[in-house]
Amino acid sequence: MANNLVHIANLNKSYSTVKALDDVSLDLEPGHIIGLLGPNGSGKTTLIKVLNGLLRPDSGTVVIDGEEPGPHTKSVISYLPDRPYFADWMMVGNIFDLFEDFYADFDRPRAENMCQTLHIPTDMKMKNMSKGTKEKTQLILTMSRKAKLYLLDEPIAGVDPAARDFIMDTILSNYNPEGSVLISTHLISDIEQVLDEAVFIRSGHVILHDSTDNIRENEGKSVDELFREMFRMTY
Amino acid sequence: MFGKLCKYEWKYLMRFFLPMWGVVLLLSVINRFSMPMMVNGGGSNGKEIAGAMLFLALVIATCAVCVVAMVVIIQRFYNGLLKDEGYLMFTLPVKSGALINAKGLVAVVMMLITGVVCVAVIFIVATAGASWMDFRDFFREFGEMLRVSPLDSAMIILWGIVLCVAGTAAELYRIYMAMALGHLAKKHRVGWAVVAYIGVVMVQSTLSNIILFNVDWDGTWNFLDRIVSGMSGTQVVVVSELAFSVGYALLTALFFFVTRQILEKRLNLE
Repeated sequence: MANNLVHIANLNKSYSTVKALDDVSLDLEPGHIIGLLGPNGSGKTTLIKVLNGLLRPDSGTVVIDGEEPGPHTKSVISYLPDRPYFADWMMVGNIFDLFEDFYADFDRPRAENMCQTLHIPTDMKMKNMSKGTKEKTQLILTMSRKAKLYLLDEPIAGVDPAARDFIMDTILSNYNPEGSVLISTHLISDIEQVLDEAVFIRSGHVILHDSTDNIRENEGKSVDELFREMFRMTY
Repeated sequence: MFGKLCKYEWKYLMRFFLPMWGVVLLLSVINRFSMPMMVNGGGSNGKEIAGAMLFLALVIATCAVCVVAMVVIIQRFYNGLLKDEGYLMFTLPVKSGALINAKGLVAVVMMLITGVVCVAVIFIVATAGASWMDFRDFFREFGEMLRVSPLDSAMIILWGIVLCVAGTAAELYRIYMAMALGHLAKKHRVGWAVVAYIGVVMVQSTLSNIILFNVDWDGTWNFLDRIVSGMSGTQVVVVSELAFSVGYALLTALFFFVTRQILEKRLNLE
């Protein structure tokens, strides 16, 4: 646990009678890109929200960078949610101000450069943006931080293949290599080549956690193929 | 960090409040000049009707400002912390208590300024019916009061302001707590927040009644009599203001504590 960036032990979370996370234990080291892979409703978003402190677990332990979720862990986590979360009245520049005020690791020039490359004016209000532009802006903000842990919740869901390439390029060319990236998705073939590790999650259980190299070597198949095989039975 | 949170709250709320205050103050100034024309219209129906319409617009606008102010503040808390924007606020590296208090502090200031604007509206309109001589008399008497007993007057005014702040804070934090209690429900959270608010008011009222009907009034009066017998009128007013302020402050602390506990221990941004 000493070298772990994230330590999760016996984590449980239920919604009414549905168990979203069932006795999850997981350790993540720094400097890796990890895929949190599972079908819809498997508990991926719940796990990410618990790590963020947006959901409180029913029981279990979560330690990130040596502390339980709180102001310190939030200062080292850069989070991309699965929905737009900025107030409509805010302009891109306002959001940059906010990030600059609250996150010491926010690299404003980098964010402005990315906006310029994508032709997103910093005086544009969120309410005037298309869904795609909002998503790009959120991604720019998330990846303009030199965070220790990036939590990216379904960053490539619901976008066309060209946009997926852009998103993956942005993540890979901007993340802090000393930190770790946890990407939740069920579109494994699109990200498999960049993953160092894969975590398979089903019905709130972690059923596999291994390096992608080990998976390919031991199973003799790609992560995507193994995923399809393991989860086919559940459909 | 707390100051930065307040800065963003202030920026957000001023977008709504500044135009509202501007409109009612502008309407009151227009009424200041249109009212004498309406009253002394010289039999002109057009002027009287226009003056009456302007006055009606001012009354409606002033009432609307008070209602809208409350709605904006409630919405700001609910949307800012318990809906999608909560994803941003609760991932900032600050404590939940700071998020609540930044919203509470700025909301109290906004409500107090709204109160001052409403008083200013009444004051401006009142000058329409009074000559400047009347107002000179009013200020002279006020100045005389301050001159005769400056400390007493200042104390009454100061503690009156403290009482207003404490009362406003208690009411706002009660609403915040009701919204936080509503957040504990799995579904229909707004509805449950309304139910929680009504419930809290009923509990407070019931507790007050229990105290009221069970207290030993003779003993209480004797006790109070002993306290105030050696006091001047001003001191009695100040002590009363102080006592109510402390009561409101305790209620605010209780409501804050419950709200913070819920948002820290039971946050569920699904």
